Formats: sequence, structure tokens, C-alpha cells
Amino acid sequence: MSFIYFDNYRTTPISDHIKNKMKEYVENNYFLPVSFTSRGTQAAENIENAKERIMNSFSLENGDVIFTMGGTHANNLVINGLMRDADLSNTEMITSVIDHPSIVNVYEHYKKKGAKVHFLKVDEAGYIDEELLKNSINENTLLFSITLVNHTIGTIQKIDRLIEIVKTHNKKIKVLVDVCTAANSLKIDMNKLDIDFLTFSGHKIYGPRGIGAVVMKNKNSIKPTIFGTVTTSPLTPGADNVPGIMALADALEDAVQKREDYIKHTSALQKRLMDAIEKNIPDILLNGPEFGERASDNVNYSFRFIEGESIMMFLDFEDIVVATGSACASSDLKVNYILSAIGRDHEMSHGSIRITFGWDNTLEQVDSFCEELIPIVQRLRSQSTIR
Amino acid sequence: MAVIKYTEKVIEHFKNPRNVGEIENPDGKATVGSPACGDQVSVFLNVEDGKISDIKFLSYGCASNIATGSIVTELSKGKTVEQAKALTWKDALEELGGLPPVKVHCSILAIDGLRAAIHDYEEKVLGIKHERIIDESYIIEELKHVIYPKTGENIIDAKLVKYLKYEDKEVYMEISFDETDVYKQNVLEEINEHLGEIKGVEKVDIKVVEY
Repeated sequence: MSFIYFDNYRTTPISDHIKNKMKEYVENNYFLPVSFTSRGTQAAENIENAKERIMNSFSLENGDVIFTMGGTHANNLVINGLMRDADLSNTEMITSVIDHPSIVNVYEHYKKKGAKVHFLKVDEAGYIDEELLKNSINENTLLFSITLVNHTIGTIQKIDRLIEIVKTHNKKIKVLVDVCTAANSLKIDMNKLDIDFLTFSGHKIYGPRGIGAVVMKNKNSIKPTIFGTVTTSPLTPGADNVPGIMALADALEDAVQKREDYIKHTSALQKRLMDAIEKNIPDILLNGPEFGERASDNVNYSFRFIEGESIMMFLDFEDIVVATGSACASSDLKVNYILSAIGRDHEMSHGSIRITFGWDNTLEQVDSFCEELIPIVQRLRSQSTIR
Repeated sequence: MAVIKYTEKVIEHFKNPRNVGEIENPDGKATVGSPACGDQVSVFLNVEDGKISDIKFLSYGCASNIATGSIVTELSKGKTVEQAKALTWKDALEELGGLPPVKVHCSILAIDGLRAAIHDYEEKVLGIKHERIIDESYIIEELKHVIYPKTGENIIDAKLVKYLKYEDKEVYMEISFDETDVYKQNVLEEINEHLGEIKGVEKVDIKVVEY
């Protein structure tokens, strides 16, 4: 069987368009910004042009874009930059318990250092409770951070409502929205939504690896936390990744341009897979919202009584790539914190499999996948201690 | 992430596990581990003329759990009860060509399953009563079944346990981790699981020292 890649939330392949662009940029645009030289100023212009294109893609007229090494670096840069000079004993920060580790783990760090940190509980589908959010805001709240599309269970947070709650209470509270897993399938309008910082990454939108960005409404709204030779921004000193920056803007423009088709394409795959699993495999649990509510490219099921690493490996033997929330397969052997937060016990989360679709996937692949998955689940169940 | 992969032999046993299934009315049976902790093994065995004549296992767990269940049943089938009792998790590990450190605890579970099934046979069929005084040395022996996933050693040999006291059915212990150690939670859960099963232990108090 030919290779089936259903792990597009981990990373997407690079598109042919961006691959060609990258080749061109790497060959011809390797110069760094240097004033008063033709190639140096051309590099600076290319960066400025990429910033403009990125801001346009999020309907932001005025603001700034800071280029980072990816989504994790971007979230760290924002949170650390805001917290740098904060009086921790009088600082509170809010996120959800299921947010991305590049937010949650930074928050944990500040919790240890003495800040008051709110990890808002979510319901069974992964949505933040608006009342809980309201009740956690006060005059000390500095930051509200939220991942728009949950990377494990595909919950799309209702950010328009959540941001409204935050900003109605206090306009000064900063809002950080991570759209790494949302940029392919959701329109994000910074002209309408009062987002202070938006973060995304190239390798999740068919673009280059090792590059991401913070799109910010107001320049100079965070403090530097890394130091060195400043060229483009004091927040990210050092040599600019000019080819990566240019290709990141291209990849984002592609994502925006193809978004409607992407949603149609992935939701057809999603429907086919969810229907097949629901029809053919008993004792399953859908993790995250129902079809139509969840991100169109994400499917996550728990297969009861068996363990996910085993399922993942049997699929891997057939050259099919998926992800699992099993503790056995995680690098720290911990139970998946997102599945725990939506009420799955250890056994339920061990048997979870995440399937994330992208441009290269087809309905035929979904059918082939199900043909492999069904007997694997049956077989592992037949040799399990629990049933 | 370090390169973590299974040997060909582990993969082969995972794909084609030997002796999978149940035995009806076995001479000895046991289930160890728990679904809540991520893995569980059941072992069923029959004994004829002092030898393990038939043995089967079921597994809820990952590839290494299934492969070690398979290899342990293969190693013990046809052996005398005494020979089977003498098998260690290191024998199973060696036979499989090794396991990644993070998976070593799976081999312990399979051996524990075998020993517990033999234990059950001895009690049920032979009428041997196993009684052992619960003391500090017993607790330490039990803690040697908890594996530090970073190195694949048990937590006693890995010198994570800095202090241990057992008194009035209470265990008090101090255990140290590097501040960035990702396995802290896993080790603490494993300790509680192992000590929680001992009848003479009513309370486990663990102090974590981070450095």
C-alpha cells in the first residue's frame, strides 16, 4: 500500500509552490539586511514586504510582525516579553487547561515564580466556560492566552465571545491567540477581533520549517528577552531567516487563498472517516466536538479496552502515520492532559488515536485506512485483559 | 528526542505473539498492573509433573507489554515450576535483545504476572501459604520493581530514593529528581501503585526533593 500521512497537525509537508519559492529564495535572497547597500536594503525590503503580506492575511492594517523560529518560540516570546518586568505577586494570567504546551508550560513557570495563574476548566467537548473566564478576571489580570483550534481534539474556541468578555472587563488585558493549527481552516480577522498578539508557524501551513511569527497590533508592546545584534527587531536579535520569512508569507497567502477549498476537502474526508468508524467499530468515544462543530481537519477517537501505541504501530507497519494520546507512547509517560481535562479516564485516553487531514489526503486513503484499522482494533481487543 | 525504537525481535513478538489467550480452569492465574496505570497482563498456567505444561497470557498495553508477555510465556513453557520462578525480567529483556529504558517496566510486569500465577498455583493446588513479614527490606524489594524510565534501572539502584522509613503501617520516603525531570510524575504513580498493593501498607507519604 502507498504511504498515508494522517498526522498533518504534527507537521504538514511543504507544498510544491513553496518548495520552488524556497529554492529561489535560498539561491537568490540569502543576503541579510544591511543599510545603504543594494542587496542589504533589498533584503530589508523583502522582510517589510513579508510583514505587510502577513498583516493583510489577518486583515490587520497597522501593527508589526516579529519573526520567530516557530509557534513555540512565538508564544514564549510574547508571554516572557510581557512578564519580564511584571511584579509577579500582583500579576495574574489566564489560559485554558487544554491549551498548547508552549502556553501552558510557560504559565507553569510563572506560577512557580509566584504569579497567580488560572487554567480554566473546559467542558467535555473542550470549550472554555465563559462564566469561569468572567470570574477569573480582575484588576491584576495581565494576559489571556488561548489556542484557537485545540491541537489534540480540534475544538474551535469561541474567541469572539471570549475576547469580548476579556476586553469588556478591562481593555488593557492583553490577548494572545495561537492559530498554528487554525490557519489552514479558519478565517482570522484582526480588524474585527481585538487580538493583541497572534502566533502561527510555517511548518503547519505547507510552508518552511523553523519559522513562525508573532503578529501584533501595537509595536513595542513587549520587552526583549533575548539579546544580541539587532537588525530587524530588538525582540529577535541575530541573523534574519530571510528566505524563510519570504516563504512564510507566501505559505500564509496560499492558505488564505485556498481556505474555502481546504475546508470542503478536509470536511469530506472527516465525514467519510467518522461515518465509517461510528458504523464499524463498537465501544468508541469521540474526543472533541461533533462533526460540523470541530475543526474540519481533525478526528480523534478513543478505542476502548486497547492501547494507542499498539494501534499506531500496527498502522505504521502498513505505512500509515497517525498520532496517539497514549501515555505509553509519550516522551514523559504521562497521561494526555487534554483528554484528562475533557473527562477521559486513563484507560480511555490510552486508546486514543488522532487523525489529522491535509491537502495530500484522499477519500480512497480514508477507505484504505479503515480497512486496516478495523481488524487491528478487533485483533488487539481479542488479546486484551479488559473487554 | 532520543532515538527510541524496538528491536526486530520485539516487533516480531508484538506482531505474532505466542501463547495469547486464556486457559479454562487453570491451575494458576493472575492479573497484574491496572488499566488505570496503562498496562495490565493476565497469565494462566497448568502444571503437570512439576512442569509448566501450558501457559497463556492476555495483555492490555503497548508493543513492549505484548512482546514481553509473549517471550515470558515462551521462556517458561516446559520449564519446572522452580526454573520458571527463577526467571527474571533481565532474562526476558535479554531474550528480546533489550528494550528502550522507558519501556523496561513492561518486562517487569510480565515477570510479575508469571510469578503471581505460580504463586496462585502453589496456594490453590499445593496448599502452600505464602506469608512474609512486611518490613523495610520488603518495601525496598517492592520498590525495585519501579523502573526509572530515563535509565531503565530500578529506582533503588538509580539512587533516587534518599530516605525510607516503614513504621505503623506507614511508608515515609524521600525521593529526588532534577527540576526538569519529565518522569517524576510517572515514578510517583508507579511507587503508589506498587506500595498500595501491599496489605501491610496503609499510607504512603513521599517527599519530593527537586534539585
